[in-house]
Amino acid sequence: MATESANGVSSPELNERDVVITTNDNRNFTVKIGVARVSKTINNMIQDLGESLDLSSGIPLPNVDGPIFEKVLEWCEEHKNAPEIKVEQDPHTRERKWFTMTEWEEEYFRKFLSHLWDLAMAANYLEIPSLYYYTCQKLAERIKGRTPEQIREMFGIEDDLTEEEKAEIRRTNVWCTY
Amino acid sequence: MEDMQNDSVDISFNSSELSCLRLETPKSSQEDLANSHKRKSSSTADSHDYKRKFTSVTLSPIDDDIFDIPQEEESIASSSEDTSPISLHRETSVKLNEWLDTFKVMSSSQQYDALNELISTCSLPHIRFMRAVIEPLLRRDFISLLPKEISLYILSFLSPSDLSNAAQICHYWKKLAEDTKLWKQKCQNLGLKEMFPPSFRRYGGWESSPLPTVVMDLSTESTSIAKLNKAPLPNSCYCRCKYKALYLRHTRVMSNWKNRRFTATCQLRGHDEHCLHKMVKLFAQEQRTELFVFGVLIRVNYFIVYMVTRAQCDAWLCTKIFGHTSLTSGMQLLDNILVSANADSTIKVWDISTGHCIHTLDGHDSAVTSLQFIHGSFICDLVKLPSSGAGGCVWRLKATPTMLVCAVGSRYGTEDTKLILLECDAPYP
Repeated sequence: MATESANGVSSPELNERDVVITTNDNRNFTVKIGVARVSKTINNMIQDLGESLDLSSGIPLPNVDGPIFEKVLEWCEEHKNAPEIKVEQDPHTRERKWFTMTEWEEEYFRKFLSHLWDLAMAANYLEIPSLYYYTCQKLAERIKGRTPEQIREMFGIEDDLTEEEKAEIRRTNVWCTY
Repeated sequence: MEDMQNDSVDISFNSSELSCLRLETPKSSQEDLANSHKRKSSSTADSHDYKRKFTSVTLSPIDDDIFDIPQEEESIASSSEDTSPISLHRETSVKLNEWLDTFKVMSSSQQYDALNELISTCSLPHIRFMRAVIEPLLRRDFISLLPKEISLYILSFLSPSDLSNAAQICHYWKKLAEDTKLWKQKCQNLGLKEMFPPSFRRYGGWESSPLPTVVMDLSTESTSIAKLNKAPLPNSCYCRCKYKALYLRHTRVMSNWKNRRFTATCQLRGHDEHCLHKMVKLFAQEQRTELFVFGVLIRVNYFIVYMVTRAQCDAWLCTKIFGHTSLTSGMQLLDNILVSANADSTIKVWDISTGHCIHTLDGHDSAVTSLQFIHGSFICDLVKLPSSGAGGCVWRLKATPTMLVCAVGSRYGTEDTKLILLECDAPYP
């Protein structure tokens, strides 16, 4: 968390103040600065503006729409005091470990399952590492361990490969399944 | 294990379908009103149609909360219409609109309650119908829709075999699944930078040697000697994506080690023991190049850790380690971890900074005379001698990333003195 003061007010006090954030569909959200700061993008804006920050005129977010930002805010509210997320390695396989989620987070993703990719886009733009990593993992979970047919069926993907091409891919990828 | 995971994924997906009843369907609700006839005729909805609808709607930001649920009710309504005449249908659709309006003005918690009520009054065919309508809406090829950077990050969670499946889905997925960045990151996770060169054996080294190449007597599997091309060239995978080749080769060599799958074995006979000791010792000295060396003196049942500074030829006592009941004849050090092989047929793992024993590894029938780290993990149960320990023993072990050399001898002549070479190298993918 940033400790330097913006707008001439020390950080803890500032965190309690409200800031207006405007999404690209012109919806205004009044958010506590402490919550908004979970997003590094917004945090940077607040810091860069510093003295000139006018809390009431609002911060524009041209790449996020209202319904999604609402969901993101829910995440920020829960994670405003959460420590920075760490990417860990499994000491045995040396592969990146899959994150373990709290019950709240599981529930959150269950609730917004159909918006996962909007969330991933928003989290990427807003630089919220926890939300970004977890959403991506949730999406990966849906691909994991499924056959190409199941995945195509699941996401309604058109099969544009010929049988020969598929055989070729299988042949060149034999080592992957080793 | 794998299966269990799959199951749990399925379960979560199913439960998500339930929540999606509430959450997802919104966006096409308007169109659905118009389409309800059409759908009646082909009620197993055309997934493609839905997908298109879906994407087009998401681009224009609609406040979902307003349209959040009606679709579902509507779909039930239209399912019940299936039997009713068309004139009646008009009438009901007016009522339906009123009903929807009432629904829209409810608070969101009321809406959920209403939905719960609605679902509980539904019969099984209704539920099935809702499922058929709603399910296609969830089908979104997010990998193609998301920016490449994010898609790659999602794919980076997957194992190589999942990626190989992903490559078979369509052209775009195929391109992504072999992206350099994706595999480079996997290599970085493993700390891989460069592909180690093919071993001497790969170049046909032992083949031309006059010494007989003998298949080892391993109780687990009979090892066949792989047929090798001389001077192996990188294969197509290397040309397509270097990092993928690097990663796959590494994992394959590691898996050869772990599963005791030797690509070639060889016994070199005709040495005397003195010769063996010397060779192996020379090998050992090369590795001691760091400034600080921990020297360990072996006593009957304990050893002393000395810290030696090369520069001043200084040595001072660090700690004494107790615990073994017999003679320690082999040990290896990795950072603070010391592993010792003891004649009491155990291997112990120590933390030399504290002097505590972290693990005791047993399972050997007889004295453990030698051990060797490889990639920070252990090799186990690789060599089984015909004399199975009765006098015969492995004096020394040395390993490179792809090969293990064992110096074997015996005290009572039950085992020939020889070097056993075990090769775990894999070809270039």
